[in-house]
Amino acid sequence: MRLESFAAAVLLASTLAAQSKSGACDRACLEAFVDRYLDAVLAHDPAKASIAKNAKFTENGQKLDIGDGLWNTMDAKGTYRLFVTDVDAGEVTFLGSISEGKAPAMIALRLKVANRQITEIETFIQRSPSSAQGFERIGYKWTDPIPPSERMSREDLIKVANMYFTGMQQNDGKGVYPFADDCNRIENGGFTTNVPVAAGKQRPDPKTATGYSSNWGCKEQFDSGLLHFVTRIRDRRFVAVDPERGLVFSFIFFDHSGGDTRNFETPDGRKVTAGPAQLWTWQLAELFQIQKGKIHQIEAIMERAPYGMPSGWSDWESGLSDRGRDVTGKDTSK
Amino acid sequence: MKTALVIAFALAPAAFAQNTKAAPCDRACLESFADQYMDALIAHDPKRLPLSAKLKNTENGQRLEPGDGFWRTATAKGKYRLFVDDPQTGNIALITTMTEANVPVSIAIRLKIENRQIAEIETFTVRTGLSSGTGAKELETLASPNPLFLQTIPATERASREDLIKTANMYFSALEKNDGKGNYSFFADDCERLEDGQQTTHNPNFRTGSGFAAAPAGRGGRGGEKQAAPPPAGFNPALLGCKEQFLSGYFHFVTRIRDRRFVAVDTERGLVFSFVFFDHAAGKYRDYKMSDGTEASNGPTRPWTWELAEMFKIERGKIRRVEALLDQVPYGMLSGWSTWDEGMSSKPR
Repeated sequence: MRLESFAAAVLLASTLAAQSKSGACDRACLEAFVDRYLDAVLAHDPAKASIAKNAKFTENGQKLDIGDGLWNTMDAKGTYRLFVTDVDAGEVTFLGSISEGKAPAMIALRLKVANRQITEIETFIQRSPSSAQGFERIGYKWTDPIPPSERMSREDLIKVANMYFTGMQQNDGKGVYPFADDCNRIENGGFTTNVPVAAGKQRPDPKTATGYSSNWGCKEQFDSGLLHFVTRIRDRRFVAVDPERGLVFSFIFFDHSGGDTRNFETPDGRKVTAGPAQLWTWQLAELFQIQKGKIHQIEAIMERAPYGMPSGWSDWESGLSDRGRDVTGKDTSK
Repeated sequence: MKTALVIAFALAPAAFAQNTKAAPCDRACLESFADQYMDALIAHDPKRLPLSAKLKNTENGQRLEPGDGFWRTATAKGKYRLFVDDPQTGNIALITTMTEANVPVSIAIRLKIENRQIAEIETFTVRTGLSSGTGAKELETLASPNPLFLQTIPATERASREDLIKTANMYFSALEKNDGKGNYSFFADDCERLEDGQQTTHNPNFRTGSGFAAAPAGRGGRGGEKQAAPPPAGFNPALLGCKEQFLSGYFHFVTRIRDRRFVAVDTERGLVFSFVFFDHAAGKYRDYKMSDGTEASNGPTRPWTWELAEMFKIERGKIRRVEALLDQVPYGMLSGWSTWDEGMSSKPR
């Protein structure tokens, strides 16, 4: 009896410890913060979300007071919910569908959690009903763990994801492109790789095409050298890594500088002019599923932003640099 | 020979004074800098300009290296040009038209000249504006600004810099959370407004559904959705004059006019040039009562910010003309010339 109550007391104590502010926040704990946060936004009430007093909040690259922006306009959560949960770094990122002003939209969300409180909130809303509807229609996967023996290190996962950006920036078809044969990409709710050729249309031939085609696979697109007009992929912030599932989440910007940067040569020596003629920057949240060093799946939401805009989380030099940065706070390569 | 030498001596100091770096840069001098800047943009060559070593350069609120951004894509100057020259502070600001990759765009430019060098460049290129990118064409059709802007104010009637800015700022203060109950006597009876090349006062042909704040086109692009125009409201403010629009209480959904930077003042012509942001917080801020008691629900349905260059012609303390360029930017964006607190504040500077 005495022993039993002692055991019960120990059990109680350990439960309390798990819930205490200093206890580690595991996958379920971190992911619960996302729902708690979204529910608070939905209620237009920051007090409901366990937000630390000095927490920093940005929406689409702009620092705002907590309670401003989407806090005034979100009216429902959606069914698309893809997490990249980084227990080691205390970061949880989320790509999901929502409704705002009665219109479907996508959100990329990053929360940093310390001592069971949210200390950083980074949001990127992509305001396009068709994108949110597309993601919900396609659905998500990659919640299955990768066998422990096949898991890659955090550094290697980031390295492979960064090769994607390096291969696309001023793409010349001559780089090393770490794509698996089944690689697919979804951008703003639609497939932009391996799209079946429409009836009556011909599959463009990379040897003669002057623009890359969504009928092609990931590697075929990069091998074509036709993405050259992406002049600069900058402020490459890798914000969450999940080695268990092989997932990497990043926020970046694609600059298209127009002018002479539109003129380039394909790997087989053809002179091509392609890309936006007027200045164009995409702000993106992009995530990768990587196994055995190869990219299997890419998902991105992207919205046009003023050319050269920074993320709100980098100094000016880092914001304009094309260097990949592990900003999870768990950079073990240092 | 001796005579020639005397002439040479007589000429030298005067010629030197003209070219010296210390001489003030007058109206003609300032306006020539604007032309030099645009010519250098088209040549894609910053080296053509006398740039100060401490030059700061922004484009649409973003700090960029000179040579990047619009330097790569500018193709020609347009006809329309409206200057606000401020020799006293060395600032020149203008609204003009150019082409980018041969597409017409409206441009607001501010240059600060110090010792005959360009120390600050602030460029705002409008590609979409209020009505899907037609603004630059509208300005080109007008070809030149309303002559009122260039009229000199008689010396005895000129207002001080401070008073001109004060009057211009009254416009923003009355528009922010507009309730129709303010004192709008700062508007002259003949006041008209031009926004993105279109007259938005006394204009039965102008209509953007439920408000000036809801442009029909969103930030388009791959997968991007056009922002649907809200259903037309029964009330069309564009039919009214400046003062009547404000008296109606219609613009309540403009929740914050912030980062109000008055960057150039021309006391001789009564002109004030500003860069500002209009925030529309949406949500519950869309619902309000007009001044006649009518329940209204207007403005964007999601957070929406306009970046603006806005200028005013002011005579005897009253606004006779308002002219603005505007383009949508991420909600809460800053100018690149203010701290975060200044950028979020409604306080004029």
